[in-house]
Amino acid sequence: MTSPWEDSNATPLIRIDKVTKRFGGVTALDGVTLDIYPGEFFALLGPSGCGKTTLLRLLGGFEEATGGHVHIDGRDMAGVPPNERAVNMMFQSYALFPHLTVAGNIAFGLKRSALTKSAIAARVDEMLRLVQLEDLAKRKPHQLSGGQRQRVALARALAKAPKLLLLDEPLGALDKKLRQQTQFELMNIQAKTNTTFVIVTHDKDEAMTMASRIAVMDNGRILQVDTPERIYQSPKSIAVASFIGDTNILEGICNWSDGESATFDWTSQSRDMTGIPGNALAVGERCRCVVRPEQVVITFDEPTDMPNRVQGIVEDIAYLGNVSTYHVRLNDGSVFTSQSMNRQPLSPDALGVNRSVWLSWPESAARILRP
Amino acid sequence: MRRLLIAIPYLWLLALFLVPFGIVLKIALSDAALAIPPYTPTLALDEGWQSVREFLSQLDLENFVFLGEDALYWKAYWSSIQIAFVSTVLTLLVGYPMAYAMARAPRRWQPALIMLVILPFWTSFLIRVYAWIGILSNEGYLNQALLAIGLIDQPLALLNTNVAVHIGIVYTYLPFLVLPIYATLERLDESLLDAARDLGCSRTRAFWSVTLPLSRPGIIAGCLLVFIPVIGEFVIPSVLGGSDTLMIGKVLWNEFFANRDWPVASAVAVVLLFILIIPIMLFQHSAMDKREVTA
Ligand SMILES: Nc1ncnc2c1ncn2[C@@H]1O[C@H](COP(=O)(O)OP(=O)(O)OP(=O)(O)O)[C@@H](O)[C@H]1O
Ligand SMILES: [Mg+2]
Repeated sequence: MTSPWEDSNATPLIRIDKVTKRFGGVTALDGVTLDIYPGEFFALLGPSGCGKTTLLRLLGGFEEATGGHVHIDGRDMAGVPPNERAVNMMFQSYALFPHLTVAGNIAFGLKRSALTKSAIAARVDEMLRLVQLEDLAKRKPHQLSGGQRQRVALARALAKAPKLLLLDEPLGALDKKLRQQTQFELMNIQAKTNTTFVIVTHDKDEAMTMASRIAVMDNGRILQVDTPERIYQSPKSIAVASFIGDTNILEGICNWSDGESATFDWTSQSRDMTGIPGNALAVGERCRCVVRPEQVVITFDEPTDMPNRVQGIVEDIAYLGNVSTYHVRLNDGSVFTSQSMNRQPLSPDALGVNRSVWLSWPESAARILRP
Repeated sequence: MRRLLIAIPYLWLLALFLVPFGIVLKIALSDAALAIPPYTPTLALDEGWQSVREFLSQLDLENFVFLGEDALYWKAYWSSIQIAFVSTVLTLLVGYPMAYAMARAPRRWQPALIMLVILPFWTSFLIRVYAWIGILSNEGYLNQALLAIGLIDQPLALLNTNVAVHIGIVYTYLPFLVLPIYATLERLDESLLDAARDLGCSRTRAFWSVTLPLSRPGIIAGCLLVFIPVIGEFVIPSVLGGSDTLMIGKVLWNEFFANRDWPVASAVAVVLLFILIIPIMLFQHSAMDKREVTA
C-alpha cells in the first residue's frame, strides 16, 4: 500500500498554499505550503515561537491569513468562522468550561447541532467510554487531575466527529510517564475514530513516536516534511538534523560525487571521508557531514575495513543505564560523540577514560549536506 | 497567640456590630419619654442588681406591635424593596455592558478606565446628588437639551418623582456594580471563548453560554452591593424624590428627628436589619463561592 503523500492521485484533506501570517511587524508564518491527507497523524515540530500555534489557529479559523490560501476538503476557508468548520481543536491549556461538568463539557458542542437529547446523551456516554472517564461524568474540571482534564478535552473535541482534529501541545502539562502512556492512547483513538490529527509539539520524541509525517518548522518556515524515519535518517539540512537529535557535524570540501554517494575532504583531519549526499553537491563546494552518535563504533584497534575512521582519546563517559555516551577528543581538539547500548554490565577497565580508541562509521551513516 | 489571632475578627464583630445592635435593640424595647435621652427606662448600673431587674421588666415588644399595626411602615418597607430591586436591575443593565467593554478594552487602557469609574468618589456624594437637581429640574440641562433638539415641547417633570430616584441610584451605585463584574470578566480565559466558537457557537451564543455564566459571581456580588444599601437609602429619595416617594430610610429619619420617637425609630431599624439579613447572607455565600472557584 502506498502512502497517500507518495500517491499522485490522492487528494489532500488540507491544502495550505503559500500562507503568510503577520502580526504587526512579526512574521509568524512565511510562505508555508503543505498538504495533509485524510487519516494522517501529522505533527508540526519546531522550537518555541516558530509559528506552530499560529498555523493551527489558522486551520481552526481563529486567525485570517495575511496571504495565501487554506483549503479544507476542497473548500477555500477564507472568511469561514470556526463555528462553520468541520474542524475541532484541543487547546494548549485545554480550555475546559469551569462551570460545566465533564459530561456538560463533552455535550457542549453536540447541543449546538441538530441532535436529539437522547442522541446527545448516547454520544456523551460513548465519548466517556472512549477516554475511560465514565465514573467522573459529574465532576467539575477543577476536581480532576491534569491527565483526566486532558482526556476530557480530547473527548470534547472528538464528540462532534470532526474530519480534522487539531491538537496544540496536548501532552505539554503531563509528566513523562503519563505522557508516554497517553501518546499511545492518542494513537489508538486516532486509529479507532479514523480522524485526521494535526498535532503541535516541540518534543521531537513525541513527534517521532506518534506521527505518520512530521513537518519541521523554524522561524515561520517549513524546513522539511517527511516520515519520522526519513526526517531522522535523511535530514535535508543541518538545522533539521540538529533539531531532531544529537549529531556530530564534520566540516569539509566535497571532492567527488555521483549523486548516490560522495566523498569530501574533512578539513580538520585532512582525511577523505565518504557519505551519502543529502542535497546536490558540486565538487569543490563547502559541505557539512552529519553522523549520529549511535552509528559511531568504538574499537581499540584500527578498523581498517571501514572507510570512515578517526583516532582519539576518551574524555568522559556518561552512563545512562541502557546506553552509554562516550565523548572522544580528536587530535584537533574537537569532541566527537559516540553512543552504544550497554548489553553487558560495564567493566570499568574495558573502556576507561584517557584510553586511545578508534571511531568508525559506515558510509550509509554519514549524510553530506550543504552548510 | 493563634487564639488571639482568631479572636480578633470576633472582637471586631462584637465591637462594631453586636454592641451597637444591642444598644439599638434595647432602645427599640423601651418607651418614648420627654427626657434626655428621650426614652425610659435607662439603665443605672451603680444601683445594684435590683435596679437591673426592674429595668429588664420594663422592656417590651410594644414598638414592634405598633409597627405591625400601622400600614405606613409595611408600605415603606415594601416600596423600598421595590425601588431597590428596580434600580438594581437598571444598574445591572447599564453596568454590565460597561464592565464588559472595560474588560475587552486594550490592556494598557484598563487602568485609566478603572480610574474613570472610581473618579466620582473623589467629590462628596451629597454634592453629586444635589448636582442632579440641576440636571433633572424643569429648567435643568436635560430638559433644555431635549427641548433644543425638538424631541419634546413641554419640559418633562422628572425631579421629585421616582424616576429621578432611580436615576440617582443608578448613577451613585454604578461603580459598586461595575467593579466586581469587571473583576470576573477580566479574569475570564479568552481561550474558553475560542473553545466555544470551535464547538459551534456564534459570537453571541458564546456570550450567553460561556461569558455570562462565568461572570455570575460578579453579577451577584455587584447586585447585592447595590441592593443592600439602597433599601436603607435616605439621601437620594429625600433630595431627588417627591412627597410620594416612600422609602424606609426617610421614615426612619422622620421618626428620629421630626417625631423624636427613638424607640419606634430603633424598632424600624431592627426590622430593616432582619429584612437585609437574607441578601447579606446570599452575598457572603457568593463571596465564598468566588473564592472557591479562583482557588
Ligand atoms: N496575537 C499575536 N500578536 C502578536 N504576535 C503574535 C501573536 N500570536 C503569535 N505571535 C508571534 O508569532 C510568532 C509565532 O507564535 P506561535 O504562538 O505560533 O509560536 P509556537 O510555535 O506555537 O510557540 P510555542 O511552542 O512557544 O507555543 C511568535 O513570535 C509570537 O510572538
Ligand atoms: Mg504554541
